[in-house]
Amino acid sequence: MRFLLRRLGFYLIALLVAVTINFLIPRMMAGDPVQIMFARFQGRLSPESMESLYQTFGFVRGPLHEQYAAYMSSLLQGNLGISVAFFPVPVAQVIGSALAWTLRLVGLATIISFTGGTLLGVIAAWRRGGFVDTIVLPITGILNSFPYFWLAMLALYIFALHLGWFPLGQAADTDLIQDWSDPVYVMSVIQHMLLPAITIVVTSVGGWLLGMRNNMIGVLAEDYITLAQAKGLPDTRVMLTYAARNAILPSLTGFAMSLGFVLGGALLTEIVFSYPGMGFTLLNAVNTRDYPLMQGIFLIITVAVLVANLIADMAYVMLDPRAR
Amino acid sequence: MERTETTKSTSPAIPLQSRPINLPGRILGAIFPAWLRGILRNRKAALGVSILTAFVLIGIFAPVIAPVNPTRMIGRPHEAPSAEHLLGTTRQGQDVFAQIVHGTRTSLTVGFLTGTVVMVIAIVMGLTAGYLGGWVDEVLSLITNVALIIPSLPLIIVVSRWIERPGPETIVLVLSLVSWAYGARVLRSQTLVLRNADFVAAARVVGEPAWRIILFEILPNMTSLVVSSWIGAVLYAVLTQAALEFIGLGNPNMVTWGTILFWAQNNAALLTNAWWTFIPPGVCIALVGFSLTLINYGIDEITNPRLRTEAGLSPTPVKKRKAARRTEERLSA
Amino acid sequence: MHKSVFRRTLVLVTVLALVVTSFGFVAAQDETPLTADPNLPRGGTVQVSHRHASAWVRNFNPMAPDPINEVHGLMYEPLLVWNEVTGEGLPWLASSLEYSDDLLTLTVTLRQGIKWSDGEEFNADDVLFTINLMKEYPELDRAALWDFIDSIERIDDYTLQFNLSRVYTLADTLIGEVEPVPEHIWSEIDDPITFTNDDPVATGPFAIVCRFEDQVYELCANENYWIEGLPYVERLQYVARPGNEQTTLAIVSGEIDWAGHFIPDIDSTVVAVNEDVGYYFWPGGGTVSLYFQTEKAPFSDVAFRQAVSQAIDYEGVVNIGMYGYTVPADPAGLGVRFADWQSEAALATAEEMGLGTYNPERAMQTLDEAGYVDADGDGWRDMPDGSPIAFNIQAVSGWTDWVASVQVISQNLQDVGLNAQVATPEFGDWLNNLQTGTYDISIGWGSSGRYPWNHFRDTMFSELIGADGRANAVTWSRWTSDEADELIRAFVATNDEAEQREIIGQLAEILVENVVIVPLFPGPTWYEYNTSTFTGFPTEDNYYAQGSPWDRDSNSRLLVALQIHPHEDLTGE
Repeated sequence: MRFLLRRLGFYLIALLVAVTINFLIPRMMAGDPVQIMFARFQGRLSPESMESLYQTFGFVRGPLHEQYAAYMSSLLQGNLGISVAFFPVPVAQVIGSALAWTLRLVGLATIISFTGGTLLGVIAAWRRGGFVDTIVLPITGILNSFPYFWLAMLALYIFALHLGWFPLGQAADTDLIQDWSDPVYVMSVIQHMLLPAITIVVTSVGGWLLGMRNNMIGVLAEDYITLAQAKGLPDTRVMLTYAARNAILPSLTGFAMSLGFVLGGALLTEIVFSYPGMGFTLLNAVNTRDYPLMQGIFLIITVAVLVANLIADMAYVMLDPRAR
Repeated sequence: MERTETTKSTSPAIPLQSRPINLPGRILGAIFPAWLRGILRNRKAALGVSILTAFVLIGIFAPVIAPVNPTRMIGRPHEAPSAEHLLGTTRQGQDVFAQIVHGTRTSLTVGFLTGTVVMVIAIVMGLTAGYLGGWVDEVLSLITNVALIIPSLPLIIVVSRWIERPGPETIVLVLSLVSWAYGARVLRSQTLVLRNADFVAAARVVGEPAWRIILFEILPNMTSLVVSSWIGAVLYAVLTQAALEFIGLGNPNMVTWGTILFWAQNNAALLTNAWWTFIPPGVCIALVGFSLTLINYGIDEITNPRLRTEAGLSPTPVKKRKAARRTEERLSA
Repeated sequence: MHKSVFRRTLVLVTVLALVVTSFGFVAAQDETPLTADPNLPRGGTVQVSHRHASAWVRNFNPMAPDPINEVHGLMYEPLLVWNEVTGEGLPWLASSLEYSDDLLTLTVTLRQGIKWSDGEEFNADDVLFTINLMKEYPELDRAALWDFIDSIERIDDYTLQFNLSRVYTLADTLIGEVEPVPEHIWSEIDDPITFTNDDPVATGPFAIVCRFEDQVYELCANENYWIEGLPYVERLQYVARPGNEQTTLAIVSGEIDWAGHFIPDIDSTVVAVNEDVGYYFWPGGGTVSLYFQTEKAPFSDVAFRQAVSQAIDYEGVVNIGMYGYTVPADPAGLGVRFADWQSEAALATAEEMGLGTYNPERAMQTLDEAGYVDADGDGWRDMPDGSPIAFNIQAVSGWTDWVASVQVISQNLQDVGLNAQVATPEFGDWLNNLQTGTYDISIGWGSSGRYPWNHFRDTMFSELIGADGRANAVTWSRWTSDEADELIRAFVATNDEAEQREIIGQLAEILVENVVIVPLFPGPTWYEYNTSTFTGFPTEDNYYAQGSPWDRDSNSRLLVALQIHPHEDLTGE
């Protein structure tokens, strides 16, 4: 318990530091949101409008300490502020829909990749020299070293454009009205999710697989495994409850981190597959110097990573009695 | 960055917590030659090393292999591969083969440099924190953890504007700054384990200063971990550089594999069926990535023989191998 | 068969009844600016695409800085639609905007019988309310109307009289740009600045938001639209796609009917694959030019700038950088849109100075004569005092057409012995560099306003360089003079066209003589259309209005949206 409290305190400090850095980073970038807003129209907005824009965006132009105070106090009230690029739409609303899509696609893909990779890793270690160990392992290793966007675009051209097995993009058929109670719509969402999810899983599963396999092999050499086997316990039971349970511990923190980073979205996936999500929203916010939107997204990622880590810590304590 | 989740997931491949610490003494002293011999004896690593060496040689002898200036317009736009232009030309009429060959140099340089800088920072941060402990550890760990959760994309843009003309060195700096934290964390936990080892305690009793213990007692005992983390960092750098350049955050005037892909994508290479501008750079990146992965497999197997799949990539009957494993385990027990 | 249907609509366009006087804009009474042909087929959903996004954000406030683009014109209509192609103002919600003889009052008469989409009548109160709102909330006064408006008098339900605080002959076009909002709705709103206007009530042909989802929104035809029988099509649909690759794919596969995207090598990437797709990249945008930091040597030297202008292979820039989508610019940068404002004297000066013509020998001669020779033998020219010259030409990272153009230019300059490299900062950095003068040479867009005046004002007017030293608009060269300032002020103080032409001629001469900028090419406006289902789009042969479905200030896309129609009747499908 003391351990967990200590971690909690540590995370709170990390959160505070991160939130402050998140506030500073956007402001260290050259160019301010108003000028960029103006320039986005490439000479089609008359210079007269400058003045009115400055007035509109007074809230991102005050002295730094005032902006910081305003930012912290609105954070405490749970208010993420108003977006600059989409003015006057609140940041929470801009993030809202993107976040949901990201959670569905990237979250699901990450979980599948982790569970699949870990299971395969267990099998690879248990049946050394078997199919998984000698065929699947090297293949996923190769896929893991491909540039993701390259593979994804190739997949899009081959499987979507030329073979027509998958849709070209979007999160659902645009002719269907968004209605989660309509099975046709839900099917369409799943169908649109397949190719992007497969590309993410295929390029990331190798890491989990190898990590789990190697951890497993280390654990299998331990005396208590030999003892369990000697006692005549069934193989699957030894494999899962004795070996895998302990071997998974080192992968947990990594998994927690990637779960946290899920909320950052998968920029390249979103770009290649025209999928809505946080990655593109962040890129857009960066390009338009949308300070409030950037801060909002950073905050969400930061909190998610910290919470995921905290959960991993607790899982560690539960799975590994030594850590108590 | 997009790539983070995969890299994060690659990192557990560095099996630090589960690796027993009995090997160090032997490796100590004769680090390099024995090492290299060991690597070359491992079939996976040997394959990896030879692919990588081939690319390094291409990079070094780039001007000899492809004397054509890769940035000059020397042909018509989008010429298909021919005897004159082995891999055709780009939309701007540049020779793709020359670009690939010259791009090898920049891409590998950036990869290796970044990997090295990342590891140096990670070693300094991780070992200091792990060995000294106490408040130093608290502060350094806090910095490391915050660096882990700061979103890297905007940070990359912020850092790249500090440099006048973005070039390879910018990418090295940027990538190093945003990606050292994971390695630092890994090395710190390994240091925590080694700190209590007998030989370290002995050195402390003799009165060696902390920096000497860190550099000459602890670090040599983590060679394999450092090397495999370094290779991981190089792989990460090669892939991330390509991704950054691909989304337009690199310097499009520089010839690298990433910028070739950037231009190919912007000139709709696949739609116009100009595959020769899109496929080769991707394959090169993948080959380098594959070779690094293979070397890392090899290192894992050498330092921890239990991980070995003896037959390398070719499968052998399971039963025979099971028996072999049992013998091996009995021996090591 | 398709062709004949098309011809009929073309005739319609030419019937636009309009009289432009030197005292404002007057439409013939009781005539709508367009009339519907009852024989044309109707209905259908037009797929439109002009903006890269991965998800849409609902914001239909026409006074917000950058709302859903369709609020301009298609939903909230202006008093005066400006057709950039013909250079004419078309009285729209107003039937006339007329100056008094002393140019100090402007009388705006509104059309009668216009209804808001909720059925309420549109009249002078709405216009008065809208412009007064801009006084109450200066944040909303984008055109700075209250700089020259003194007061407004409501004469009757359909007439307003604007009393101006000074003679400002752009008042009619600027007030004409106003897009009135309904008083009966907006007077109830607490804060018009933060209002997102989710369900707009407007006068325009596509005022109804009938669907709004993360990746799709649809605008439906307004049944109360005041031009009877228009629009022909039932709805416009906008699907979110994040990049060029995806929009190009969608255009190739025929998913998009009306688009405004840059596509590389469009003939081979798209037209060769899908013959229903047509395009016309009208070079009527602002003139893309090279800007110099003229406060720094050697860029402060006219001879140096002149040599740069002589060294550039303009055809090469247009063909390699811009895929042959535009043409080399004229030396004054007026562009095709203001070609008839061209001054003979300025052209003669340019010819004499060798500006705008690719001539490397002459460039080297100019540099030699000005003392820029290779003093240390390193192959690059040096300053007359022997110090080395090395500089960057900037372009925005990721804007490949500009980057490729600048790559050609840097090779050209290297060929005449100048050590020019390409730098590609990210957009925000690039803009900041140009505004604060921390650059050497850069490519940049040109101003595209109603008149050639905007081009010279935005490039050379000293008042646009702020007290903080920021170069606003496109005054990035930081080259100003009292003479130019005076001419710029004089233009808006007269309504005499002959005098205005004289002023533009003199400004052109100043710009050319001092090589303030090096105009490269007029910006092309990206526009593609697919005729498999719909027709009536502007084509290269009959470019009746600017074709791009993206629009900010002219609203001429309204003319296109009102005239496209299906080949066959699609009503109710």
